Amino acid sequence: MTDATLFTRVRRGEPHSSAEARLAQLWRGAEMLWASPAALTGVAIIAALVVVALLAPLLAPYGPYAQNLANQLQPPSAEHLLGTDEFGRDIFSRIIFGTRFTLYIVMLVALIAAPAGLLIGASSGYLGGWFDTLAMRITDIALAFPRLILALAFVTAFGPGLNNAILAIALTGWPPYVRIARAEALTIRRSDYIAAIELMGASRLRIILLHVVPLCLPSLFVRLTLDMAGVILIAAGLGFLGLGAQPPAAEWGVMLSSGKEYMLSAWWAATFPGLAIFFVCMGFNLLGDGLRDILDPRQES
Amino acid sequence: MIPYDEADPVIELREVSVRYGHHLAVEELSFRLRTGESLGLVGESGSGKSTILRAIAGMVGSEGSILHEGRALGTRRDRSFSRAVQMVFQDPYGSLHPRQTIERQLQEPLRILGLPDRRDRITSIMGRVGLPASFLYRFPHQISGGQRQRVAIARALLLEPQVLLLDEPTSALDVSVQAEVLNLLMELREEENLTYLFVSHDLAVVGTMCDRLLVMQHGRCVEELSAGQLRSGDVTTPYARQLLEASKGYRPAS
Repeated sequence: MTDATLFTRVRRGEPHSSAEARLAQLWRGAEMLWASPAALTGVAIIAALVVVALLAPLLAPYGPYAQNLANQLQPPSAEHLLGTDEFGRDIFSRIIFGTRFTLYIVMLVALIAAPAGLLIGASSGYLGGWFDTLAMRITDIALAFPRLILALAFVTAFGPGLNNAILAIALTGWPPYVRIARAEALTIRRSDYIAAIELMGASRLRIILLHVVPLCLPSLFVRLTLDMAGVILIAAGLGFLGLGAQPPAAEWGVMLSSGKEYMLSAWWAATFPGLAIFFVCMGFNLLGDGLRDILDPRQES
Repeated sequence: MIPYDEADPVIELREVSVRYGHHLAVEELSFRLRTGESLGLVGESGSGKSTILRAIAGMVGSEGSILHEGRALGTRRDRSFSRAVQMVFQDPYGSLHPRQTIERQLQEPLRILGLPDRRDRITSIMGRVGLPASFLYRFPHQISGGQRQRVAIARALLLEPQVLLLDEPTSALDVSVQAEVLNLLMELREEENLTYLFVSHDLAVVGTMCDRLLVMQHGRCVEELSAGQLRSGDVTTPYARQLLEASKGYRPAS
């Protein structure tokens, strides 16, 4: 037993410390992920997105902003795999660089909206009382607006641009996370283990941060992953409407928007950015479904 | 502060009532828990016995006064109370955090109260409740109900309390495991000189565990019995007699 390596201990579920026990849990999750073809496809797409974004300069045959006016709107060929746009820029290269915009948007929105929603929701559900009432009424008001329209209003107020679009999406995105975290916290706060910890004299802050929040995380992660597809679509929509990333940015929504002018004569200019959006959204959806199967505590034996 | 004497009750209830909405779960109940004794609260479901424990632990609001070592307790329990009084819950599946390892759950009380020498205290407490140290690195769903209840007892004992509030600690367990946990509790009581307030619907369990017991019905105490009276069947109220008959089990009418 002593000569068993860390890896075998983790794989067999014979941990020698709490950290190893958590690794063993992760390993079990990875095994479940591996067993589900749909989730695995999602993981592959998102992993490909990250790798492409990191290695964009190495993978792209041309610069994303390199114009060649003699080469406008060329159909896909060996030279330009996905054709060229109205300025003779290589669409394949622009889609590759566009992954950076997509990841940037998705990560920032997730980092702003989810922690805020989680903290407000978990506190609201655990504390109850006036704090809960206030937080839930504000959430109800925020939920009463259609998301894209509210984002449009925010962007109009802040001025068009990628960062303002991200802020607008994050500002319209937090209410579902508040709802989810609160729903989880409501069931958690009545449980005996929270009562036991309260009886040990733990402060409310400690209970919320160390005991309630970690239990809200699984369902939040699932929701967040499933929401990412929507975030990409709204970001692309704002780019399409000229309120998000601005031309000549190699952002997929912007590319789609400028390509739509040539839809009938040069179908590739709008089609390929659209397909890129489609595949990444599908990747996030598949991953979200897979995570739900893994993280749902009811699945645990 | 009133001077505290060993003969004084460690916990005293004076006309304590607990309301859930319009329902009166406990009605003007008074009793004294003496230092070192094991007091049983018996009664059917809904008689208010678990509610009393929750009121003492400060989990539900109550009217009347609850005294700890002669001092009336407010709405929030302070740290000296936490160190002196701990609770073991009925459902071992609900009383442990589902996503923390046993080690992490046992560290928590020590961290909350800022106590030192965590490592050896945790390993020694695991030994005292009869669990191997390798269980520290398991999650609650990886161990059985009886083992979970041992962990819950270990967690309660870590703070070296004088009083354990036991809320039907064995009723969710198999009969064979019940006996193990009850034996463990009896041993611990002798070794640590603990005071127990033991809630159960099972007269046989209370009869072996407790020196004295209160029979509860509809939020009131209807009779006080000694363990000897219980064994000899020397009860006066019809309700206590009914409980005693029921505890003898099902006998076919021949």
